[in-house]
Amino acid sequence: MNNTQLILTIIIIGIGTFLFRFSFIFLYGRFELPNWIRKAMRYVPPAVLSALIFPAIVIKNEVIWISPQNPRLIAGLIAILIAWKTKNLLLTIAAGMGIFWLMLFI
Amino acid sequence: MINKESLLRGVKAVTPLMLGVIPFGLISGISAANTGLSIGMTMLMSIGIFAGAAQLASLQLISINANMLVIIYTALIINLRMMLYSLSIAPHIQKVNTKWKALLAYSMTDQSYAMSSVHFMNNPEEDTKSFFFGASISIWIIWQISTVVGYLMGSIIPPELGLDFGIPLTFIAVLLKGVAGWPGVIAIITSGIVAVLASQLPMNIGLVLAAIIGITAGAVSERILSKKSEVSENE
Repeated sequence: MNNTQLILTIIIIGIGTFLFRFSFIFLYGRFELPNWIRKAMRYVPPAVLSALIFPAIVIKNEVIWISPQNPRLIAGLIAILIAWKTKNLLLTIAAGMGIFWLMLFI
Repeated sequence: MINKESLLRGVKAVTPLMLGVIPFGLISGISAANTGLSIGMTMLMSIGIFAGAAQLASLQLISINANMLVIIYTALIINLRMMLYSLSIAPHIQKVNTKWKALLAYSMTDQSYAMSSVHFMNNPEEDTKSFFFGASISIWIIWQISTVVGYLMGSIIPPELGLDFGIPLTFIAVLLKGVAGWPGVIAIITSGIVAVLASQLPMNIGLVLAAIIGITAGAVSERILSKKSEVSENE
């Protein structure tokens, strides 16, 4: 890929991503939103975050790896437990990273 | 006008998450350097796209000389989730003028969106523009700095450290703040299972598919649970 193509690629992705982010923030109020959609929006954070988390801790090299040997899975599950019990952001991330490194290097 | 206190509350809300954002920014800078991008191109990407997962996926595809359309498609499908964020946060910033809406949209990330949306549900009196901007802009600044640092010092940070793991950890930390009762738990479980299974599907559609099925599962179970409690009240 030459430089021009690269710049073009970045700009197209940048504009597309901005339009996704701006889409409904811009359009909201210009049309009537059905009530069930408005209610369902409450589940956007848990559903999207979960769809980002689980593949990141379960999948390694495009293969599902559910095993106590999987450092990301174990550290991730312990982090979930800590987050649930303490609701402490910093502790969750620090402990998750610490356990992950322990499992990687020991 | 910006409300300073609300802005600071937004900054403070995301500050602990920097522990995960910084390593990911470093990784993004390192990958850009390893892919052979100039520092200018790296910053164009980091400022122009400003979405870590999509940037990393694009860099990986650039490094294997993938087709331009494949790169664009992959990055955009990863970022499609932002439309859900946009729809979900829109009612809270409806009264803001269009210029501010554009700025808030541009700087929105997974973390600033999730923290703000949960905060607004619990604090309806908050100055939403200032809080949201504070949360987003502090991540933006830290992201750009850590990308540059990663680019410049990449060679001394060993890749085995798995610094990219910081990001799922920030999501885990934020996730449990916004769980709305049992329907929220059902949304999490459904979406997580679908995302893992669908990751084997082609074209990277797993994320969006899982999100939509998870949201539906949450909304439907809310309806079923509330009907059940109505029935038991009438008995």
